[in-house]
Amino acid sequence: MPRPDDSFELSVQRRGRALIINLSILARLADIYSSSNDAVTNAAERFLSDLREIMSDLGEVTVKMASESFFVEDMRVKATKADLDNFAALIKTLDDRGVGSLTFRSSLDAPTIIDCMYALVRGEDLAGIQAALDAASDGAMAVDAAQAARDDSDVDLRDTRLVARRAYAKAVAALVDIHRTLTAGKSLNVKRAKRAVQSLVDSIAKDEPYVLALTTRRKRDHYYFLHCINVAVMAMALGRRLGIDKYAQSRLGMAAIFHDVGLSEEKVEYLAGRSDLSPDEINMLEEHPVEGVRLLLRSRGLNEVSMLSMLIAYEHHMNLDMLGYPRPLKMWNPKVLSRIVRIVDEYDTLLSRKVFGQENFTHEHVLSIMHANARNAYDPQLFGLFLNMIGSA
Amino acid sequence: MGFGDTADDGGVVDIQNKVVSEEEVALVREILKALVKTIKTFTVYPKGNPIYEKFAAEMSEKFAAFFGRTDILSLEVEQNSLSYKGHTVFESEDRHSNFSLILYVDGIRQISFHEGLSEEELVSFIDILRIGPKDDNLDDDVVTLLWDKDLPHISYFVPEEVGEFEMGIEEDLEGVVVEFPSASPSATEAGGAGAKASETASASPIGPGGGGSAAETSASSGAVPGTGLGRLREESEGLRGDALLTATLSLFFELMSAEQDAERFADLARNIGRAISILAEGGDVGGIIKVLRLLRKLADASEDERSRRAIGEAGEMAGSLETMKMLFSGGSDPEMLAEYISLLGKDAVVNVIEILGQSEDRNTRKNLCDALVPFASKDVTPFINALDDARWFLVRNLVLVLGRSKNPDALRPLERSLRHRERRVRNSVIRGLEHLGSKQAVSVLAGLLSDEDRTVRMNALRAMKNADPDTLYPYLLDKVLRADFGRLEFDEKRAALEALGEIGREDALPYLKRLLTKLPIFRRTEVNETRACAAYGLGFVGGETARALLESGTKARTDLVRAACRESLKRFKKNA
Repeated sequence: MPRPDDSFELSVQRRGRALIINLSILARLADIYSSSNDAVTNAAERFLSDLREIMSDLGEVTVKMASESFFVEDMRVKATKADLDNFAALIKTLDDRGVGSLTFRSSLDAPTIIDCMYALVRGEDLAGIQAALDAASDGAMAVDAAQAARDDSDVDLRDTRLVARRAYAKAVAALVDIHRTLTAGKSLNVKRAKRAVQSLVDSIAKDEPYVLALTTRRKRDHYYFLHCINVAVMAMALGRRLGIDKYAQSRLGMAAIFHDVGLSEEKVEYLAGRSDLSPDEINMLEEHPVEGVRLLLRSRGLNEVSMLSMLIAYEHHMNLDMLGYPRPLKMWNPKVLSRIVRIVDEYDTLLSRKVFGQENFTHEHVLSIMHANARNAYDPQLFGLFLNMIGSA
Repeated sequence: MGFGDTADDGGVVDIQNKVVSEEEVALVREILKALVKTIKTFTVYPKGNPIYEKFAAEMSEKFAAFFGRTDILSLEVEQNSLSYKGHTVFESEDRHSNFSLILYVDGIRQISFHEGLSEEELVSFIDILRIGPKDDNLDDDVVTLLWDKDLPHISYFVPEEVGEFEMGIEEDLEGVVVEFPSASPSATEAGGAGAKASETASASPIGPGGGGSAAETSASSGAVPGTGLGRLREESEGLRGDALLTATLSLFFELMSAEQDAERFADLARNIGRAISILAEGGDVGGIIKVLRLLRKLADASEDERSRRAIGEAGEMAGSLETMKMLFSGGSDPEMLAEYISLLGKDAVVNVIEILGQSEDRNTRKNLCDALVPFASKDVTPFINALDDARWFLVRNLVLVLGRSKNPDALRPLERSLRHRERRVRNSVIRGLEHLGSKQAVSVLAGLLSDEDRTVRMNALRAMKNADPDTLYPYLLDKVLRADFGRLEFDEKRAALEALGEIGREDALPYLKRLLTKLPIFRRTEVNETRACAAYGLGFVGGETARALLESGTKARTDLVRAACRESLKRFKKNA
């Protein structure tokens, strides 16, 4: 079984951890020794080496601290048992001064970072520390107040519908974030989306009709993201009805989120309400499965979810009669999970036309269109299961 | 009165103020103390053991007793402690048994147990704490394990995100209404009702105010193994691990076949390289062979130099040292390994040689040598460099490979290796020259017949006899007729005279006869030894004359000669 190869996450974890440990050591040494001490200089060099490595990838780096955890690129950095003392020391240093985040905007040299550290450990309040940092680094390093970690304590876990709404909203927010990094050519951080999808899986198990009902809130605003999450939700629900376990449902959901990644947000919204496409537009549409694979290849490394994402992105417009698109050079059998997405994607896309002004695309009208296409386009067993699902919902 | 109720007599106050009764705190402490003991017990005793079962049951009872008074037990998690409503209820600095640390390290800051917690859930939770996730595996953290185990009465808070949260969407969803039964149909009812029911079900819209038809749905999944939906489920569940990788590779090759853009082509090729390393980790030689064959096909079909280079780079991963270490340590089928090596580019030879040097298994070394011969037959360059390796056992194997290659270019490096400090290498060079078998190789062997090392002389004799007996004969004759021949060791004389007899046959007869019949005057032992060796030689000549000579020799006065003649006569009987 391929082991996870979320290279971006692993990379941030590894480098983030090293950065925090070396920052902690530097801060403690700065508290004890003078700036001319070798130990301080060496610690500064080590810290800068980590910082430069991480900045070469991410540009500006912000280290946040909340609920006794550190976050880099909004990803919680996991401490091993061996790191805990260093983490705890830095937490205390920051906590005592009301500092919640440190931002490094541009490259620093050793003397500057040392001055910044002295500004931090000798400062008594946020404003004083920031003023000292400005003087020392000319804005290259900044601090900010502590922020709370996003706290779901307002959610009564017994209120399954509130939990479902929260999970859905988090999934959309995570996808917006992912999309931003994808279009910026950066590697993908999917951890947030993963947790949200897992929560959706649980919600579907507890109250499938309600979660499916959430997909009906179609709007023009954020259409692309809502559509992707709707497809993921319906795919997971259909997968659950097929009998696949929750881990497989979660994988399917994560992969389904990326099914239209080959189309930009603008293109999707442009095409969404249109039925009369020009040849160029049709060409663009038919290219998007392959384009999706290309984008995913560059961004996601090779692991279970990324491979599944690529297959679904490639196959989700293929019909059973081998028409549809793309048209592979050799015989091709779309996978079951792709066939699931084929159906739910079509359903959500057609229903969304109403949002873009085509009022006649009611639920009944959409189903009549799908019935007419069913023989050639969809897996009959899955289509039957799907109709059962939305019929029962 | 349960916990948290307000009371006028003090002690028990509103939960909001987190001031609670000593009794409640003590109960929580008891529970956690019992939890620590239960974790240790589960480590020692297997499931099903009476002691295991007893602890599990007692643990469950303690929780049940707590839930008799309140419906939730929430603990704040810190590095070395747990607290309950502001009171420390567990503390430990022992990194091995401190389960709060396990939770803390994975980001859990609060964990709650809810009324209804079953023994099964508790056992699953304890197993997670006991076995614990690995430090370096991102996906294998406690949070994922908890989710995976599906424990509905255990909840937790992990601060995964910082800062403001986009609430707009959530607020927007608050208006969603579902007007139909909330209970989902059973997912275990069989029947494949999906296909049939679908066509008749008047599906009602899902949505605000949308009345759903009271579901006439029966089966939701109908996914009985063997039935249509069951097969679909099996197919979807089967799409993981190697099957998923294979499907993905098919996709890559499909895209590569159609790709015109060089950079995108290279992207695909790079990912094939990554896929190869995944296959190698799984010891899947067959999978790698398939990929290599496909790559070769692609390369042959490609007219673009850059594409061929990209394909080559993808293939390099297959021949990397890391990949080979994984494959050769996995006990894979030798024939498949040989095929795998044969598909690699010549640049991979260096790595194969390195694996040969590291391998401790005899069969693996043999297979590697067999696989290297075809490479050596085309190009000996990578082998030449490796002949300077400090590991004599590697050099020994390589000289044999060079010999077996029959590549004329192998001669010079073999000759050079005759000067190797290790005798076993020098002897292997002789065998290598024998395998090489060319005129020039035989000429080198001939030169070794008079080497100062007896073992070398004898090995060279043996090798030359196998490689080119006709060329050996005159050298043998020369050796045998030399005045100092008698002074050689017995086994060397025997080997030479036997070879003379075997190769020369009738031509050798007069020489062997002369040696057999020579009576010693001086150097008696030496002469008698030579006579005995001549008898052995006559045994290989065969024929009546030789037989008569040997029979006469059985009456010799010397035991050694008589015994040799008798033994040689046995050869006649055997060959008769």
